[in-house]
Amino acid sequence: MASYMFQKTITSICTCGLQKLLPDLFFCRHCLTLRCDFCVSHEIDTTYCPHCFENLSSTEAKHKKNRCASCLECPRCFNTLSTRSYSRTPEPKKPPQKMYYLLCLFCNWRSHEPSIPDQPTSSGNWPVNKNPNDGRILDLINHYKSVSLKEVFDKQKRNTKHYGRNYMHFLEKFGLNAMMARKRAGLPNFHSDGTGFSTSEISPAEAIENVPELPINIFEDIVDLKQVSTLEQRFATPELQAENTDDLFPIRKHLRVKHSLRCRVCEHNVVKPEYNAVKFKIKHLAYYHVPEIKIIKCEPLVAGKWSSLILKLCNPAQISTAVRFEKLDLNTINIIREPRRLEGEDLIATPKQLPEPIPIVLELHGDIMVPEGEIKIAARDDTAEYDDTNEVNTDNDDPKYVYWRKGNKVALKFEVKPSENLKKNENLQLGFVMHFMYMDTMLHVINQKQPQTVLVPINILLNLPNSL
Amino acid sequence: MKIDSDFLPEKQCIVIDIGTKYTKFGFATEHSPRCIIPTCCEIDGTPISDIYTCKDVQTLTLALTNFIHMLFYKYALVAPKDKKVIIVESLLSPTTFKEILAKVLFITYEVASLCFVPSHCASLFTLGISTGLVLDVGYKEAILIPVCEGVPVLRLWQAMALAGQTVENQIKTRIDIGQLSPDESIDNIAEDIKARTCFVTSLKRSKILATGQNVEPKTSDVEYHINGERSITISGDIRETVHDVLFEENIDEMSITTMILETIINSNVDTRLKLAENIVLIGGTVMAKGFMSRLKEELVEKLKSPKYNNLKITKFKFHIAPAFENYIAWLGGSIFGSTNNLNILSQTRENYINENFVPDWPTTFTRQKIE
Repeated sequence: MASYMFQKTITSICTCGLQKLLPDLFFCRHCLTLRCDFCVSHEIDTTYCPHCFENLSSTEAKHKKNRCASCLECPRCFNTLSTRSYSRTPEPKKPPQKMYYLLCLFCNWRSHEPSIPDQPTSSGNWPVNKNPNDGRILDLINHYKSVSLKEVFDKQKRNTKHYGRNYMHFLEKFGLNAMMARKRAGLPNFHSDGTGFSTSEISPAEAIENVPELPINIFEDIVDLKQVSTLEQRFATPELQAENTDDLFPIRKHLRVKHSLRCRVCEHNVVKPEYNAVKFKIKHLAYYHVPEIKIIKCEPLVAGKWSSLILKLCNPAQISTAVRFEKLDLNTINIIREPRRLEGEDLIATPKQLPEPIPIVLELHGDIMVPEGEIKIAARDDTAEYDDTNEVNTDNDDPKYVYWRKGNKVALKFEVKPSENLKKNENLQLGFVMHFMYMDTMLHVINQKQPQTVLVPINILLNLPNSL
Repeated sequence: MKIDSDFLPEKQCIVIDIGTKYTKFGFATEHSPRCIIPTCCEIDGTPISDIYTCKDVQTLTLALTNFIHMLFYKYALVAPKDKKVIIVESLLSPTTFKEILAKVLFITYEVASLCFVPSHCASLFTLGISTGLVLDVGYKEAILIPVCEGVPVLRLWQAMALAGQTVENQIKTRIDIGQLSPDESIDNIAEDIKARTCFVTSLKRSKILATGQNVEPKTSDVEYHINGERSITISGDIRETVHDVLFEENIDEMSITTMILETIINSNVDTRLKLAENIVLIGGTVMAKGFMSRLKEELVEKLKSPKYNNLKITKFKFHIAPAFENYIAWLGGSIFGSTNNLNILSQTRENYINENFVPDWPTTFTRQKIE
């Protein structure tokens, strides 16, 4: 069922120039144009664990290195580990004690393999493996930090050399008052000019001549590939990269984020999730505003001959809309991109540089005849489906173009003519522009005006399978 | 909960090392990368396996945008806006790639500042030394650039397409993997065989094996299972000799060994000894078992040849960094990111938008300091 959503038979061209399916698109209500996840800016809303669904604040997540504190992953197959318990009696007279260990229900890995001792609590203070080189790296970092600070000191010293004889302004700059205070207190003096600034010394690494040789038994040992970890398993813990599967330690579950999306041009939210719920505060998906197009019937395509194509349009909005069609003009497709602003819409204070739009390169393989005039589509009404007597006024429709009409759906007749040189088994690519009427309610809220309707153009591409 | 006082007000700094095969990614001042992931992404459902081979500007922009998006929102879990970024990159990486990467980060993701750190120099930070002969053997090519007192000597660079990919091609031609179903990839299988079963044999054994004779003790064969259905046998000879291609001399008498010797012979007489005694190996391919000892044997052997006979070098010394070889360059970038120099040497977004170009070297020229 979901696969029909991914069929790229009918795509829309987003404002940025990418071809996207309607369910992948957003509709910015302020710019009145389509946006896709490539041309909106993503922000991080909340961080959560994909297993226990606990929400973490960004500081907490940062502190825990983006890992969940309670959920663990199998180091061998990356599925979630479960905690198992058993009772044991340490001494005959004492009550039995519950002990816990970890088990992967998928590949049967257990925490005994890297010889992690069983824990007496279910949350388990499972040991955190440490990078064995932590000490040395910390020394290096401190050394380079102090070297870089010394550089700054030296530079300051150079810059302050040529001041006049009056040193009074140094009093505060170098904290001379503080120095006096130190002297009075009998503390050793410190040099503020950097001469006494000592960089923490480290011993530079010693190169060795006797490099590690191949182990003598590497040739004859039988290699059991089950015991040798794969690269994926090694890279899951970059600081350990254990080559033996017995040395793999459980991994803490990596957290995930909920995104909130913002239009880059007008900086209004397009999608905003609700905290702690699988719901949205704001969701301006194109799917809720733009009439959806589906192919119902298509006559066999013959090169150079007109054949009819019937498309069904479905209005998802609660207000009735109208559509008008135009042929796609390849010459102007790259010129007008960012749509006009509405009257009274305040401009953004600081215009910033936006990513360049992607040039649209298209090739159309034929001609299309679109219905003329304006075609009205009724609003969506959820109750209409149960109403058999639901009558739709079809008086104004031109039977030449309107095939049938029911509720918020209308089927329209198009004519397509593949070009003469269409190759066999090549998809027939055709395009048209659909203008649809959008009721702009935002302006009404801000400026106390009547809601106005605008025509929003959308470039639609058809990719008809062709089996001539 | 204890929160370190020094990480709250400071802007987080992100260190990225985009390799041809694997990307290392993490935060500055940390001791290991957060993740090592394959450098690949998708454009509209079409997978791009190697970003560096995208020649078209448009595809490269899209590929990098998607890749950076994945790094930040799937792994870093921070919005890139107003963050500092360090890119550890090879000095020989293409300029277009660098320019497009800067454009994507500055314009699309609005990062606060960006600094390109040469990977060969950064690697020395992990050792605390300032002079060394750095050989980076990655996936696509081996690049050698000596660094003297912190300055890369570009005149002496050497690069050859002898790296992980060459070894994998050897595996593909010498082992009959057979028919694969569409969801299996021969590249992944070759890489898996290389990483899990192969090692670099000693020079002595390699010489005997090259003549077609048997060697004692014989290396055991390995049964390798593909997808749990079929199994192929990887013979012991292949296991120990696939890496030999890196040391075989080509028509110009060049191999990884001669790359090092050529650099030493072309360098200043005063630095020769120092370079020979400070060899630093970085990159994933040097992690193969026995690589370092084999390289040493080859170097000592080659010294006897008439071409290099007049070099007054008797021994070669190698450094072992406090990290795994595949993320040494990243760790160097992380150490660099912890110092104050990052703020001085980075290019800010304002500067990029005004000047509209990326400097070749991190300098303070025409820049204002970021606070």
